Amino acid sequence: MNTTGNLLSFPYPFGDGDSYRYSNNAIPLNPPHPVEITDTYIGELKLKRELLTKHPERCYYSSPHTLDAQWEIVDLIAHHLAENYPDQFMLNKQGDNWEFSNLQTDEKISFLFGENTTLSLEPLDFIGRHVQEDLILMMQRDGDLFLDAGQLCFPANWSLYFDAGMSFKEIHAPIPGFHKESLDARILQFLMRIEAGAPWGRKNWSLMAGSRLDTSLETFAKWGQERKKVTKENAGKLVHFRVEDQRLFRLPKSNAILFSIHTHMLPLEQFVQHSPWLKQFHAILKELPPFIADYKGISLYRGAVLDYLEEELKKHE
Amino acid sequence: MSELSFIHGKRKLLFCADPEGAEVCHRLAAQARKENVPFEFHILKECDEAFVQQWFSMQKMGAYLYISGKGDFVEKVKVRAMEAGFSEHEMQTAIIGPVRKRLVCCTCHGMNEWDDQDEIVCAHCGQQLEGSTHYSRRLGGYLGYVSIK
Repeated sequence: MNTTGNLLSFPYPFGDGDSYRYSNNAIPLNPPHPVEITDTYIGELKLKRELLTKHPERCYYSSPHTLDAQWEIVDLIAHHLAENYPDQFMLNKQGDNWEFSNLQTDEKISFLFGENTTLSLEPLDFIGRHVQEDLILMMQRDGDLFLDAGQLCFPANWSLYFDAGMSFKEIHAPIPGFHKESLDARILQFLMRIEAGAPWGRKNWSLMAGSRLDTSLETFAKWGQERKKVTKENAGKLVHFRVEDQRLFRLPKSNAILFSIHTHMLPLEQFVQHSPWLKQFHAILKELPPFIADYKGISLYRGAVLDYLEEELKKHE
Repeated sequence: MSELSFIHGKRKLLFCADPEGAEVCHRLAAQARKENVPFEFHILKECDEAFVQQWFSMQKMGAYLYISGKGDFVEKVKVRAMEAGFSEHEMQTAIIGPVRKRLVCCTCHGMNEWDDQDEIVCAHCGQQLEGSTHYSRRLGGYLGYVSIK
């Protein structure tokens, strides 16, 4: 949850325009950082680790042939953390003997880089427990990308257990309209052409009733009920604007793709404090086609949120 | 039932069938013999997991697999084959008799028999599930969703 007072640090997802459609909205990632540490780090890390302990079958998956690519992810993220957050992380290397220190959690982990038996967890599972992001590994073969490993604690209503092993198009088949005009094929081609050293980023958004980060499909029966409780009166507190900051990196040795997802949330009552966001989002939500609203899980309470936003707009006039 | 077709240019053909599925493989095996393509043919009463695992893991690149039999048998052998590294481009399957669909519960991951009803109750956790077209080859089942009404 983003509880920061600095509203404008929230990764607002919209560019120009008062409408939203599915598109390939990726842009070159600058600075080229795979993950980001925010002020909710400790709380989210604790939650992640609890979920991984209690529900490993839904939070982690890996196929055995991904281990080399997993080590590349450790290499990428451990170096990034130590270089960009030197007061929080350290990486000491003597040849392949690495020592990774997380100063916030007071942990020091020593291992032989590339040697699976020297870590108590798989490499992806290990490094993922030091970042707020969900980490998805897509292996490239036969002209396609496959979800062959992932650590996923904060999914936006999908199941890693179910989607594991699927190709890019198979994973996205349930999205209405995504296959139209071959959008899925074009995005797949784009992803397969990503080059090492030139990462990309995109933002995805949704609304959610409630403030849970762990909106897994497995627990939907519980948290989905909140959608029925939304009214014009409580929307500001209950409904949250949810943004996924997604980043795509080519791993040069394995030729795999690392897909990191950092989920940010902001209650609508804070979101609307910034007038340009309020105005634009009101227009977008009003115009949003029903098939997108349905897929994003907004349809049940879109009317209540629109009423709330209109009342806020009046206050800002 | 899907027809099996002879694929040329493979290093070796593997036929894995149950007693019901053996017949449709015989024609292809005869052609392989005629064209001097090496092949192995196993008829199994049921999916003997240890055996197929061992058999598939011994294969080299260029091996091509035919699986034929009852729906359950084909599904189980296919999962083992994919675990051993066969992709869907390296195999063909033929199901003899009814194709039984399965629905995976999104809440508890339990497997349910499914005859295309709009809704079923999960036999494992009691959750009401909606059927879908989202299919996992790994699990051999469709995804059953919970809907909020």
